[in-house]
Amino acid sequence: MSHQRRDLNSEGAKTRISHRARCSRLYFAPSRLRCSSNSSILASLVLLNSAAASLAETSTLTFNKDIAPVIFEHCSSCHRPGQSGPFPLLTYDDVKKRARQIVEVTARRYMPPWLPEPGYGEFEGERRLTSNEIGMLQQWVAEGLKQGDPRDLPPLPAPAWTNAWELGQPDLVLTLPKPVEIPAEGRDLYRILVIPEASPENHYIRGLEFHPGNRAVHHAFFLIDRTRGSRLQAARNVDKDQGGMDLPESANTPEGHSLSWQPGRKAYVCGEGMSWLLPKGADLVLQLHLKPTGKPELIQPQIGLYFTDQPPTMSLFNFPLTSKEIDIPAGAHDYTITDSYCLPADLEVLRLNPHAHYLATDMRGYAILPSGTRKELLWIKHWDFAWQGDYRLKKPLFLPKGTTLTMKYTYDNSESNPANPHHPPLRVRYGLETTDEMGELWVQSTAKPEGLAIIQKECAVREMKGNLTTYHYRLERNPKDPGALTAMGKTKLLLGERDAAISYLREAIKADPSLDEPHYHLGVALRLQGQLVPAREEFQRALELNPDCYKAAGNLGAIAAQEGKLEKAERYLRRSLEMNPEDLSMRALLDQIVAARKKAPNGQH
Amino acid sequence: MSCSRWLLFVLLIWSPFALGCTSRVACGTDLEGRPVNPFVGQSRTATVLIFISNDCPIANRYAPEIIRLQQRYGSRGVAFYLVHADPEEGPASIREHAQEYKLTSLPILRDADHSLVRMAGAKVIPSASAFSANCNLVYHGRIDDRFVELGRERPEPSHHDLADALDALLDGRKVPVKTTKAVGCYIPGQ
Repeated sequence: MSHQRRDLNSEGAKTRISHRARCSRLYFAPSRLRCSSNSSILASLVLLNSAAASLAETSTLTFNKDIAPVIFEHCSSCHRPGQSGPFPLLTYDDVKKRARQIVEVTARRYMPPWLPEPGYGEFEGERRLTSNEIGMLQQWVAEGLKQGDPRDLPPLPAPAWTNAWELGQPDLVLTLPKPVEIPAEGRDLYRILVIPEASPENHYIRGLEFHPGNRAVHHAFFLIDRTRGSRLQAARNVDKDQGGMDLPESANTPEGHSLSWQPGRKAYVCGEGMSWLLPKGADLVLQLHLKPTGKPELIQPQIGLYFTDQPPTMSLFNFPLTSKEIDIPAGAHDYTITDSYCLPADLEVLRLNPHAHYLATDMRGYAILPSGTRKELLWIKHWDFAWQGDYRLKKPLFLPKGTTLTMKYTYDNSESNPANPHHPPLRVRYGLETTDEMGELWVQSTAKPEGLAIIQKECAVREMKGNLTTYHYRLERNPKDPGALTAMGKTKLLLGERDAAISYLREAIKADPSLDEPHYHLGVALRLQGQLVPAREEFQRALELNPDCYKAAGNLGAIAAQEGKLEKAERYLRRSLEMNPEDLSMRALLDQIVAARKKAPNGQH
Repeated sequence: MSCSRWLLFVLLIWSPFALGCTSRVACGTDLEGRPVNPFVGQSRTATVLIFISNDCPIANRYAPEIIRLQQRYGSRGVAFYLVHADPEEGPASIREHAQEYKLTSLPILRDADHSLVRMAGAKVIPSASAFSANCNLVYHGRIDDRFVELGRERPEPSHHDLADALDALLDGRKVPVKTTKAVGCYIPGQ
């Protein structure tokens, strides 16, 4: 019996044929369940039914022996009290009660949730059932839900399945200062929440475990903010439904990591040499995707952090294949975007993180090696925004210099896509809100330092050029959009086009004189051109408009230092560091000035 | 007292006032265990049974919509009942659930022997069955089309099937769509 099952444990047509004996009874119980819509399988079942009948008789499946191992391994970690699954699946009675539902959702591959197709990349923590396992569930139901011999029942896999931490007691447990309330109903919500000053000391982190604490939490994304930017934005957006997708610029994932959680996801454990730094005093930022449950909910998740003494020894780097030129006509069924990138150096791929919103359907990522060989990275046939996640490769994938990485995503903006946020469909373009679209395939990788430096530089330029497209979109819609004008000016400045930058920033100030940001960036542009006096005026204006603009204060300090006004410089730098204590270059400049003033206590003003 | 004997008793006493159905009746029990015939009531224009459970997340998400429907149609003579058909759900847990989801303004019935389930043709939680004043099943299926199948939902419903059926019934029109596919959890044993 067990030997026979091992034979069936591979996927594909071969399995289906050897499986037909087991399926034979299903054909006679079509009203209770759908074995398969594949008519050829049914035809072969009819032909072979009589021959197989005696075999099926002897191979009755039982819960204890055949079904419990599948359920315990793939379902129970979520379907137990305190976890995301809405009902427990821990006992025979639990499973018997839901048997019909289990057969349906597994046949459709809605459960257990796992988006990538088999054969296109091999990933850690795969939750996919084999066709054989799905067939066994169907057969067990068709055979009348036999419980079987209690001695066959395996123990539950994790003795630690209390509500305790999967990785053991964390070194640091963080939680939101106060719970966030979400309404009983409505569209899905996105919230950016801040845990201020997560740690009083620098710590290297080797693991992160997330306890949502409420079933309304459907997805979480974690970032670090060394400034107070996220706090300020969160305070501005409090009680607002908007803004949950627009992460503050100062919030970043630890270099090369992508820290996220979704139901069923195991704790995030860093590979050897891949720890990340949680800097002293930095804020931990949570972006949460929340689904209203029918009653108001209080959300206060917990984050467990696990320390290590080992600093990272591997250089990690995350870069996206993406197109920001998304512009999907209303009603389009199969709108496609592609992006390719030819690697300027050798690279090892560690993890993939596909991202899009509600209209994406099919996602593919592949690599063409210099030899012409094609390596599949990932294929998701039925993208589901609610189950987005990242996928760590079982084995790092080496790609030599000259390899071309390609992503190809397809979108359905028609009425027949139920997830379409617009009814009737509207033209949809690139944007951060979930009613806009995105298309990204993030590649977490590592490379030798010199190669990494080249890739990083190229990717930064690729990103900025991509961003210009989106700012052009926004300016097409509204030529006086101060945010788009500012972003355009800032990006042009980074690309070294100073005159263009200055002209966009002046336009932005004209469009909305109350914003501090364009004044600040104009100050930077002028300072780079050596025009210290007008630069100082812009920074002062920025600081008047936003007393928290620590970058303007820092620049004013630096200009004062350049002009030899040390006392003034010290005052500005202290103010800047008070708001943003982790700025090491400011700290160093301040130390120099303090030392210089000690040497000449009366000589400066 | 069995359900049918109790009904006979009620009908004999109340028959001059009752505008309910006199045949094809089924009973549930209230949370004190007393039999209740949901189809009897004065000035009744329609009766709606909504099948829910304590643990179906889709049913729970409909709680605010169920309350809204009751408020909207209650004043037009439509009686709403919440029906729990899972015999494992006892009165205490049902009461607690109703408090939690603010469903206490609706009468709650248990239907352990599934007599209401059978009469309503219900298979799935949540689903709604609407009966005319003379006890004909005029609609059964989903409340609206927000859920396409398990795991696939619209951001907002585009068809409000139960409300459309009640509007038609109350306006004396033919109910446009009599049956729709409800999406959710199976009623245990169905």
